[in-house]
Amino acid sequence: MTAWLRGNRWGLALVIPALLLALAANSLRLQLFWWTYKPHVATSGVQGKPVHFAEDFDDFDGHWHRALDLTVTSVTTVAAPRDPDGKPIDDARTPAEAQWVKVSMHVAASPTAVLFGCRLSLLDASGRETEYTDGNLVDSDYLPISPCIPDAHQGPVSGGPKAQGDAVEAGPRPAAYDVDAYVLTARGFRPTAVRLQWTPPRYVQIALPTT
Amino acid sequence: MTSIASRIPVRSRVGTGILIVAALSLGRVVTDHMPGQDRHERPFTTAAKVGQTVHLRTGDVVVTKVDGGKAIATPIEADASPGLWVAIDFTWTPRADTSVLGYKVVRTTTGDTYDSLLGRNVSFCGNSIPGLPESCRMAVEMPPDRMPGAVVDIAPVFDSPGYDSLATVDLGITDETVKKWQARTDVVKIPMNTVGTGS
Repeated sequence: MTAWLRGNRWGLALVIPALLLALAANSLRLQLFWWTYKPHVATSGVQGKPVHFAEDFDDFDGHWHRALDLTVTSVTTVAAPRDPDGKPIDDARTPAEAQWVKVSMHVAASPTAVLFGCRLSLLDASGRETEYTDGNLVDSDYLPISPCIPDAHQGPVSGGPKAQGDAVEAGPRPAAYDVDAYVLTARGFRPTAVRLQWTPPRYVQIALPTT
Repeated sequence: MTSIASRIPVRSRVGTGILIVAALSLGRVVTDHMPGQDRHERPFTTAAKVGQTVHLRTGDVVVTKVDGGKAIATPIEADASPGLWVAIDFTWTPRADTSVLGYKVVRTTTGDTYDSLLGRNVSFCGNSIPGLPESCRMAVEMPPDRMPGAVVDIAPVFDSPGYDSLATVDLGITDETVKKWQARTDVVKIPMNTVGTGS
């Protein structure tokens, strides 16, 4: 037996790395399945302080880079949302079980950066996540599709030359602007963080002061 | 020239051969008995009746009413069916995340499926907010003779409800129900979704 072990020592020693290699080779399936679809890579900040967020992303036009400085200036509960012109939305049939949360932000980013299509959500202490949507209760014409850009000057929808040209034609987005987003939540929902994301797994999360 | 094989005793070579064949056979047996894709992707199903709340992984869903008729009217359009429309009211309250009840498929006793997102079928369900009940009505058209015993599969996903929880609600349709719906002359109304219980 010892002779056999000695005779085969190199083969036996290679069994362990071979097994590890087999496991590692399969791990790409795990990554494909879960990792890239969910927010995992956080850029963290606190309310009132600018946070620099940058990521690379792909779209139908190519590979691009996005960078911005985000400041969440205030998060308050309000009676009704306002449209992008600042007019109160009258026909918001807010039910008794719901409330509106206004998120005020200041954003500084190159007018050519693609900020269209961002997802904004509020998290509470128990991990509940309420996402901004434009189509709840109010006619979706009133609330913007993308909650983090000025509705009148949205900037490009892609990094490609056509989208960039369209954005310039429509009037470029200011290099710095203030924007409010109105999020419908369940009544009593106490946000503890604001989350903004474009392309998972990266996201930016701003902790709110505990009151 | 002496090959390596000729230096190994015959007994040892036969033994090695048998071991390799045994290992391959064992591998084959294990592979044959591994659950297939349809099995490991299958959802965790909870059966229920109309009016019963089903606790799915990410929220609660209840089918509140089942109605039917030859014609429907939404706020956008009206459609008459050569078969019958079945209209299903339900309420969805997500627990943790904003979500949409995207998967709503009527399934007959023979396994035919009628998806609320396909054909002329309609469904007005929005993004539901955690802790806030959202009610909506869907309608699918189908051959009347396949309606009795049909169920609706509901899950807060858009593609396949695999790996996750799924509500299977018995619509309670009998031959009598179908006859009654076929005799109806009025239009079944499909309203837009409502958020909150209306209180």
